Amino acid sequence: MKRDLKGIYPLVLTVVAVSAGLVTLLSLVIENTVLTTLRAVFVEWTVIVVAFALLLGVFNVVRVHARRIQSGERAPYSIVLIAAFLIVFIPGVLPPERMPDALGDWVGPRGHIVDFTFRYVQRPLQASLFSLMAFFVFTAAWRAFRVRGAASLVMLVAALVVLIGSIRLRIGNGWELPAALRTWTMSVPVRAGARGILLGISLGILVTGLRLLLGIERPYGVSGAGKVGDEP
Amino acid sequence: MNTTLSDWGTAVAVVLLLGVSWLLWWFSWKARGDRSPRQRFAFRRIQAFEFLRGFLDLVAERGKVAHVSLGNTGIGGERTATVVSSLTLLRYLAEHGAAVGASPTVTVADPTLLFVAQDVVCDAYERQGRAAAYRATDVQLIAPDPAAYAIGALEVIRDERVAANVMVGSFGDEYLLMAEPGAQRDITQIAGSDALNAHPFMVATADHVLLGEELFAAGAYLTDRPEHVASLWVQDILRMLIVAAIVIGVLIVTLTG
Repeated sequence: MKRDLKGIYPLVLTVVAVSAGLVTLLSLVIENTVLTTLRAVFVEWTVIVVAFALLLGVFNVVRVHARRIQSGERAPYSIVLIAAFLIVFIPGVLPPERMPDALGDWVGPRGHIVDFTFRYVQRPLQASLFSLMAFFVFTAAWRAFRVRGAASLVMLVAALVVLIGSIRLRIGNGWELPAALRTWTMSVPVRAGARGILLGISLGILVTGLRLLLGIERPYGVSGAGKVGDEP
Repeated sequence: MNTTLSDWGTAVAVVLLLGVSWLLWWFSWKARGDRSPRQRFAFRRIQAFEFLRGFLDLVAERGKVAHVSLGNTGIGGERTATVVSSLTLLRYLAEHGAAVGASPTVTVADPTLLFVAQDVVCDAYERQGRAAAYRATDVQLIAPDPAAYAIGALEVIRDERVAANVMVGSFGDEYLLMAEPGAQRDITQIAGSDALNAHPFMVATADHVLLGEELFAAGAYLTDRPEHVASLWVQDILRMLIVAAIVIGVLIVTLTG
């Protein structure tokens, strides 16, 4: 009996997933009230599942860091993370309407505590982090532009053309040439290459999506997906 | 009940979808008859896949681990197809890792991906008969925010035990925050993305790069599954049709002025 259920499980998953996918796809191309209603229901279910996933994800984060604190491995960072999580989470989930007047403005998802944390801690930290990108780009470029072959030579030349063409110095008419060369580089070879890559990506997405919709590939219930290296 | 096709454009799209579906089904059916579907079709060399085939053995020999990042998106968004391709690659790495005792540490940014990735890694252990060795914390959710994810993943990458870093999926500029310290540590890095803005950073920091469509070929190159090989056939046919349409269009515009 258990064996039978094990065989049915991937089949049920496939039928549910393929049906939901096909109904959603059909509702986008055919004007039909039943299909549209079903799509709305599926979207609602998705939101609920994502919300649960987020909650379980939080448990995963807490679990990983609790284990680190236990083992002493980079424990101070994990303590700060869990403390920060509790400081934002607990006031964030408290209902402001059920709190005393003095605390009403401080708790809830739009309360002062959550707002302060986002405005004065998270945003400045993110901005600082991305400002570091300039230095990272510099060191990455330094490594990339060391000429090791034809590809890196082309990359170096293209980068120099764009760099020099972007400098807005006006010294006589001669400076029009680098700017024009930069414009040509960006609008012809770079755009052509980018479009080629985008076309390939679009085809990849289309075919992968169809594999999922037709149930040919099943990332859910991977037991049915076939072992790596298996003979087909 | 009003049941009509929205417009002519949609009708054409439906016909195209049906046509591509039929091609995919037909090639999959044809490839199933082959002992090795890849042999029917001459694959071009992609260094990243050739390297991936044996690299976990090297990692295991050195007593180290590999880190796998699945990008900053999850299941259900517009990048789902990219995530599915990344999962194919993870499945390959997890199975081989479980076999040689070097299962990767996986980090994700989206909670919807966490459980799918855990399922993939757990399944890999079970297939190798080492279910007891699986730990749920082998797959970690870092943070849904790209910058926070990059910093969290960076902590994993900078760990002395990590000897290889595989980053496949959707990445933005934050990719560089994760990859540059890895490049400075001189660990082996393999990167692949469908995001154009991450490609230059990948070329600059990774040893092997999967650009754009190459990421979607992971299943065909690594697992030899008929449906994945069939997908490559279909993609090539569609690409040839698009090239033909572009050439014909250019000729018509040029000749008619």
